[in-house]
Amino acid sequence: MNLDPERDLSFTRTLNAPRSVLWECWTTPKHLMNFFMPRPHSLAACDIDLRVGGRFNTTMNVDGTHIDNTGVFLEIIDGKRLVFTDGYSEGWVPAADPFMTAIIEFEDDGNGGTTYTAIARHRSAQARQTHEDMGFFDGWGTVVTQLEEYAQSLGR
Amino acid sequence: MILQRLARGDASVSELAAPHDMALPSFMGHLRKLEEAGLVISTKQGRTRTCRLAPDAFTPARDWLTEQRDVWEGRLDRFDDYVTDLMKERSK
Repeated sequence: MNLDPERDLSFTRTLNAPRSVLWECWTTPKHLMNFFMPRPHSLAACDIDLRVGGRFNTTMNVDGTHIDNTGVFLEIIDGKRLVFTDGYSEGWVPAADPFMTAIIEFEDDGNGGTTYTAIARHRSAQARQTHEDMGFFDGWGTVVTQLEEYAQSLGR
Repeated sequence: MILQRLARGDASVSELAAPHDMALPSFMGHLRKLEEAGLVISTKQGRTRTCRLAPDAFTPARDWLTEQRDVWEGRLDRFDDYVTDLMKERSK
């Protein structure tokens, strides 16, 4: 797989557990809720329909604020490969602001453990940047003005 | 505004100074402050000094990819811990 260092991330680690257990953890809400979010944040809810096109919805609890994320599974190879995206929600409804595809792979390492790989592919950095700079002429202009004033006020 | 002009592309000092009603030496003073603040980089070639925006002048302290990297790395650490505990519990 050709990864773009500007917008893709890949992680590989050998985990000391069989594939079946890792698969169970990634596809069962009660397990996912234990590792998906960094403390003190958490998952307030997790809803999974494990089939291609089925929902993978999470509600994040960030400082008491609930943030809903909807997604679907794109590929499911039992015990081996799980692909999901926020680009659609259940029923193949296109998302307003798609951001990523995640590919989770599990492979026996031959010693009872599993080589685990997580790949996160994001929309182009440029698209994201454009999105962030929406209102370029207002927002950006104001920032530039403030920055310039600040820099000149340093007056060294 | 100097930075707004440079956000559109590199420019020579005289080009930058043109819209400003300011003597060149004081304009150079302003430019120097922007350079000292790390926002502008200038290079001299012959008699022309060309200015450009420093590459990270407007980059937020942590870019979005670094943020995602932290999310996934943290998730992997927690996954590792959780699975290790689960395996211990199940082998009891």
